[in-house]
Amino acid sequence: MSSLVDMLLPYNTINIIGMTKNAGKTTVLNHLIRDFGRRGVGLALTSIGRDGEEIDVVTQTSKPRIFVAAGTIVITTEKLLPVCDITKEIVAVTDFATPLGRVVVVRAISGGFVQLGGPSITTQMAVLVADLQGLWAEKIIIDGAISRKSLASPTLTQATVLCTGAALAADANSIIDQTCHAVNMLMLPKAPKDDGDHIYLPGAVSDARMRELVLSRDIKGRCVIADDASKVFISSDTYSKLLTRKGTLAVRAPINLVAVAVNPVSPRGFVLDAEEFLAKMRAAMPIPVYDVAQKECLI
Amino acid sequence: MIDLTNTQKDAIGLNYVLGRMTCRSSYGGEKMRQIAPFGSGDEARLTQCFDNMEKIMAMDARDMENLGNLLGRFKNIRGIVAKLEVGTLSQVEFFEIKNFLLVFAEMDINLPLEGIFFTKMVDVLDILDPAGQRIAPFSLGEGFSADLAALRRDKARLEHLLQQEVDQGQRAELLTQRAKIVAAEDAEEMRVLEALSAKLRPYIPVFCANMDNLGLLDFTMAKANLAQEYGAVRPEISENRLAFKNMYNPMVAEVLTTKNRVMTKVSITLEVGATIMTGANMGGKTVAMQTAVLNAALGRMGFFVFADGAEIPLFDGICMVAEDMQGTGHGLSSFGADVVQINDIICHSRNNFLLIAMDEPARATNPAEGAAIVRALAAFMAQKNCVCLINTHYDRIVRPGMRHYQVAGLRGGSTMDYNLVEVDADTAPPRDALEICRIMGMDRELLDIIEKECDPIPETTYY
Repeated sequence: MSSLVDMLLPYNTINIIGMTKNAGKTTVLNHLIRDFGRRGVGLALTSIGRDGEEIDVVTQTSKPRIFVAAGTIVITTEKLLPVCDITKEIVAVTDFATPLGRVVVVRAISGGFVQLGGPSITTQMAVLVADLQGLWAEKIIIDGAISRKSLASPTLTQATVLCTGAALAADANSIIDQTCHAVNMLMLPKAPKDDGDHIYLPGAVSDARMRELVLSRDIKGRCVIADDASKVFISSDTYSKLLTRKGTLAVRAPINLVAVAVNPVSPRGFVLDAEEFLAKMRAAMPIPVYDVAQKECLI
Repeated sequence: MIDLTNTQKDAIGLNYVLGRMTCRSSYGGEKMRQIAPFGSGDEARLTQCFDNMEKIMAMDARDMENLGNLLGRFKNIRGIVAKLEVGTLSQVEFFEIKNFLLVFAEMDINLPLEGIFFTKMVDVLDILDPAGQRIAPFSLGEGFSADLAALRRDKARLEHLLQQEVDQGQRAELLTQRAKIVAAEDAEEMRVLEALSAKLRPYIPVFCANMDNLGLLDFTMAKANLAQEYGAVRPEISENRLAFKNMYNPMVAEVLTTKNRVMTKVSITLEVGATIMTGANMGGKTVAMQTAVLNAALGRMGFFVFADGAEIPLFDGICMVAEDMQGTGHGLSSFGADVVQINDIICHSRNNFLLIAMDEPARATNPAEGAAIVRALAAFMAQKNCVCLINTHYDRIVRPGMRHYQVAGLRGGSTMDYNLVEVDADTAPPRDALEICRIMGMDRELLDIIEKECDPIPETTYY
């Protein structure tokens, strides 16, 4: 089985998203920084919302810090700049405003710990990604949203990695079920050409909306089309009902989900058996699953 | 000084015209917001302003386009310059100053314009870019401090060791050492930032003057572009006559264009004293008055005007009496509001040379007293050192020595001729109201009664 970094090598824009807080996004990011670094790939790092802080400001749990090598392009915000201990070269100051100041593009002259920032508006992120690709970096990694439900950032990037783990639930089977459904939704295929027989649902596709549709209309052989996976909020039960009635679900803007990364450690203190958990996940998922921490040492 | 209300500026199309302007930089935007009219004694400055617009309009269009694009690349560093006065700038702020200077260095600052001057800032750029690389990125390079160079070598050495080290205890020790170096680097960087701030501080007046002049240049270019786009003309600055040849109002013109109609351009000459305008309802008296006021207001703000030719004197103020609901909003009847406005204007006119435009004053009271009031008002204004234009439907307002314009009107036909014709003082206002009722399709039953009432058309009985 090829490594995570090998799988991601063909893509220039990579998005890391999490099922929940503390699902191990930062660990995966550090792993990618190190492995891409060993291959001499120049990186640009940005985040949707704040990331990289030692104590998670949302859940107050300690978490790994992001360490970048010299030469990395770091996207952060004005107010986070002083807590980045790299030697900095300011490359650009954007007009994108965040609660933590404007988004700035910095080149790391030395290695060091950084806190990433970035625009939280999808259109601004799209502009930034385009500029970064044109000017400053071979490969861009976006430290993405906490849950696929909050932002459509995956549609901006060529490849997406989903992080999941013990932070989601105490029971391995429950984690696997929830992750399986999330993966199914993230991997919804591209919608066929609308020939009038399909049902396009613009905006949020809620569970209630979908259930009503499944119960009231003859769904057999028809395709329900959503804008993208971030707009789909249906439960696995409802999705099963749709499939039972021979309906299908597709999206206009599909996401390229290439791998799942698991974290057997819960921020609440318990740890799943890493090898057993990984094996179960691998058996359940249609795409490769990695536990990058198993052979990881920090920085 | 008395000026048009914002409602009036909306109504006459002044805000519309200002909205058609595009400044490329925030400095030009500042100038536009601070726009102030030229008054008596400002003739030289206004001439210079018009001269500059003409020079810009005569320059190569591509050069101007490039200059406009360059202006668009300037970011507003006023806040940073203000901070420099009292404190130390951050690395990001120096980045912004450096980039302002880089764009500034690209600009040809020897423009043949009067009163718009720039000061070279190469020496300032050299402070922030001692190596002369002239690239956008900004770092506190080792050229700024020998200590920084040493600290960064140590930092790099530790990073290298950390990459090799697998023993957690050793790593913790290395990380502690690194934290000390990072703290020393921070302190030294702060010292460099302070030193750079001190070096730049004497240049604050140069920064401010250049930003002001960038704004002036941008604003002047925006006015010149507007004039070119609409074919507006440079007005002559006259002693005291206000005259327009074939003037028009771009706001009204645009509305008419959407209805596939064309605005009639009209000419008017107003001398010191009172000028009376009469004419049919729907004949465009109000539009003509608004157009004259709009162009007079634009001219005194240093804009070219929407006409084939214009003479504009340097008024101390412009004011209008028109139904704009301002007074009625304060609990006055429309007649009461007129009285308040007229009083205010008379008060200002004692010591100032004003353009006064009154659109059907006293229209909302009884015709007998209303006519007497307007007649008196016209006679009163005729004696004042002001240019006064009064629109009215009342009879026998015009006295010898006053100009009298009349809308050409229906002239017995059913098509409105919006042209203004200068007529004798004793020419009565036309009796077109009944015909307008017919053209506009008034209810037949009512119209029959009106026709009976008007037969014969009653002579004016109020006197």
